[in-house]
Amino acid sequence: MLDLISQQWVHTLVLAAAYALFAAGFILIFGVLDVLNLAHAFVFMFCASVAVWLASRGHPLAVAMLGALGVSLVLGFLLDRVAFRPLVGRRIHGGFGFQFTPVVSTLGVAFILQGVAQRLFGIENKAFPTDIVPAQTFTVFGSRVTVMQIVIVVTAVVVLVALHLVLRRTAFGKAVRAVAENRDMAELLGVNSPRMYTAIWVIGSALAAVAGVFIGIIFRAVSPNMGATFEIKGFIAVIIGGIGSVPGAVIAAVLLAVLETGSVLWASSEFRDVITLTALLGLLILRPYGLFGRKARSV
Amino acid sequence: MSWLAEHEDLIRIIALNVMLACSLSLPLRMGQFQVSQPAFMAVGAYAGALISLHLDWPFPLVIVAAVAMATAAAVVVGAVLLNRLTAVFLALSSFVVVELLRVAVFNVDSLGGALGLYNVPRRATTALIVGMTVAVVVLLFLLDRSRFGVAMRTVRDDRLAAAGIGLSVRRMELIVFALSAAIAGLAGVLRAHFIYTVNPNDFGLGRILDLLTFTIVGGIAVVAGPVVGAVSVTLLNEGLSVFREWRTVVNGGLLLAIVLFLPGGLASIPSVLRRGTGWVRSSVAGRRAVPAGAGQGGGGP
Repeated sequence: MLDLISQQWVHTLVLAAAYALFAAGFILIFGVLDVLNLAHAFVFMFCASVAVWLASRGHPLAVAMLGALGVSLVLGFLLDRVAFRPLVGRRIHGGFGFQFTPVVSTLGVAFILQGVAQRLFGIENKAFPTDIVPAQTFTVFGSRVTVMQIVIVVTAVVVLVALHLVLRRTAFGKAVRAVAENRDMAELLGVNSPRMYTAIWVIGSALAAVAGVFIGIIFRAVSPNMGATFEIKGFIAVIIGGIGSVPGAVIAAVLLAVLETGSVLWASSEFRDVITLTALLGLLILRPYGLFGRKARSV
Repeated sequence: MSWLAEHEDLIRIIALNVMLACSLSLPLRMGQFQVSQPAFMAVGAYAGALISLHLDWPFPLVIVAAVAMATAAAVVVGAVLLNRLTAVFLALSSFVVVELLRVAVFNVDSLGGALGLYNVPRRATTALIVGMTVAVVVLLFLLDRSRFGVAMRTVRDDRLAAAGIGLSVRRMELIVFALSAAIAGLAGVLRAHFIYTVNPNDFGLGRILDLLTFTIVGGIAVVAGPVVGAVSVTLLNEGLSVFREWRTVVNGGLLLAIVLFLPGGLASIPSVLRRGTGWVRSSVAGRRAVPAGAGQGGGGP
């Protein structure tokens, strides 16, 4: 049992690392652009599918990852230009308290990605060929750890720390946060906000691609259905992590991974999602503005 | 009439989709973005199917009981959610509610688990389904014209001001939440009694996305919007077999085209034509000058 638990900690950590990458992209786009990006999970799914396809044609894992990243850059750029930029001037929202039209346009993109993925890659589960995933194991603090698991965690830590520092410490990050705070004022002060839009969409989509490849490796399965499954996880990240901060995404990801693996360990695997979702809904009701959020105006 | 008989299945699907689109659009019309309808559709479907399978009740009573169950569930869920959450957090939590109910039902064996329930007697006739759908649309139309409808639009335009002039916004929110759920529950029980089966996967994220498509393609500014949207999208998906393989792609392209070029939805075509303004970017001029929540109504001044 103890051995199982220590093994679970490794698994939880790896899962949290991949979730954090996914959540950071979703939260970044939501925080800076005020867009509930329904396409995020589908970009994630699409890039993972591309990576599996490349890997299954005999390319090494690094090439598959680069291919996924390349596709994500294109998708991020297209999302910006097609699903977001034309709507920026409109400022119409039907009293929802957040922008509604980008929800619809990104939903449109999500549908297109889902349909294209089904046609291109088929609807069945596919996995990375086992021989391309490095499988040497080490023993760390009495737990067995594979090279791949170390790569995933280290990559996630490096990427997220870098993203955090870029957002907090550089002129670019300051400009991004200015746009997030007040788009018009930032423009008046000389921030080239359209360039920030493109940057945010591309960075967010790239994070989704990396997360997609990692999740595909961790769960040994990639399919077009991943999009819908991870949509909810993205929402959970926003609910817990709040808006627009990398640490929030990390905390959300860790909590989600702990809940998922913990409920399998202490309850049963069938009730994994029930327990996780109930806990999160309860959390949301107790802390309505996210774990770290503050109350805004209300009636 | 033979054409009608030939396409009875299609007509039933269209009618149910119209009903569901109405259910989703009702809260949207007062600025309440929540998509919990598939959950209450599931409550109605499961309650109705279980009653029909185990008890010997007349069908009208089954419908009433199922709708009552859905409404009661909505009052409880709505009271908790609406009391605590607004705006984007309400929207996100409603997604979670739907997914939670789906995975819960998936794991409860007495509700059929992953296989769902089957052999539900086929008691819902086409006439009944179409009649109920017409009744729902008429009801919503009358509601829209009533004082309550005006109050809903006031809340949509400015919650604070609405509360300021004495509208009990919280109670209205809950009423709309419950009414939306009742319509969804009705659609659920009717659907269960014409396709024989109830399956948890019928009530998940995919259903939400379909309903959003109907509603957005039609437009939410007028009651006719979701009706037009549900009919045209369903016809496009089911009617033209060429599109069937590319169904999701077609729907996605349709959504993008609508939001980019016709933000008020198909139902706004007449008003756009009447006004004679450009279709595209007609609302750019309204940037920031449009008061918060000036509505989706065909875009721009």
